[in-house]
Amino acid sequence: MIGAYRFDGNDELCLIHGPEDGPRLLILPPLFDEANRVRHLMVECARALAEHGIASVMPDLPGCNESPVPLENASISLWQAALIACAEQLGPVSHFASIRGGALLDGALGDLPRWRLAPVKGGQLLRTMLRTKMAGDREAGIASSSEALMETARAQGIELAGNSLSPCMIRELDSAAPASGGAVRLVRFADDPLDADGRIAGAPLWLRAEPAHDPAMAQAMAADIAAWMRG
Amino acid sequence: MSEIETSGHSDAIETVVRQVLRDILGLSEGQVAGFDRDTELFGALPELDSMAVAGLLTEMEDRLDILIEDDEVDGELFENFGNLVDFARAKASA
Repeated sequence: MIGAYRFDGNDELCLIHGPEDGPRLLILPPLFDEANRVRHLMVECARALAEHGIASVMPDLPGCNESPVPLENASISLWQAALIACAEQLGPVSHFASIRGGALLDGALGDLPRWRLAPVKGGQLLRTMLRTKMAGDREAGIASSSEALMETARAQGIELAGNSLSPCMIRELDSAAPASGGAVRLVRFADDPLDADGRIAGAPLWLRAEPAHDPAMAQAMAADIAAWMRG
Repeated sequence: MSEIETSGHSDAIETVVRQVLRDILGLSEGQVAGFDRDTELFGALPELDSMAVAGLLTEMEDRLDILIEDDEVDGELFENFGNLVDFARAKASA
């Protein structure tokens, strides 16, 4: 079902799945382009969670997806404020589940239990976007460096890979890391050498040059989240 | 470091580079296993555009725990698989 929450004078849409009563899981997609590449995966995961009897809400963040707000108005702190509004209006929210940069926002409601798939620091997302910008500049015959671009970005904002980012967003994103509080279930892929509490089969679809979907991965995510929520 | 350890280390890095290419380009395990030193990358793989290259560099940094400077990235780096693996090895052992 498509729902909405009111934030900053606008209606922001969200997808609501599962039983109507009781606490909900708040699902946070990755940020920026990565969100578009896994939209299908996230929606299928929410549907699969509903089949496990789990209620979820997946909000549009201001400036993202169908939001009426321009992205240049957004920042990490604004997104967290939006999540608080969303939880107040459509909650109660009992748990968070995020992929990648979504983990940068999952401290918005304090120390709720949180499930994270391959969380990433904000600086890494920023670095990839800066590199895309530099590659475009190179093709246009403009010499640019990440230091010079960041200096401009911190002072007056910048457009990177089609994203208009405000100085506030740049500062917050550059230093953002997944919050350490609360009970975290850290999940990674089977062939990822980094530590994890759980492993699922799948592939990092958020990296793909061409968007793809993996129905088995959506099911595996939902099964892991459901088992974790039931303790 | 003994010769055996050196080659073992190198193989691990080559594996990571293969996995990053697999993940970014959506190739199968079999396809990337078939890559050899002369396999052409930029220009030969249509999915490898400048956005994919940006993601590839950041993933390599993350998975190999290295830092790639702006001026180290040029066309030659992505000319073929051998160049990319040599670069990753040099960075990882630095």
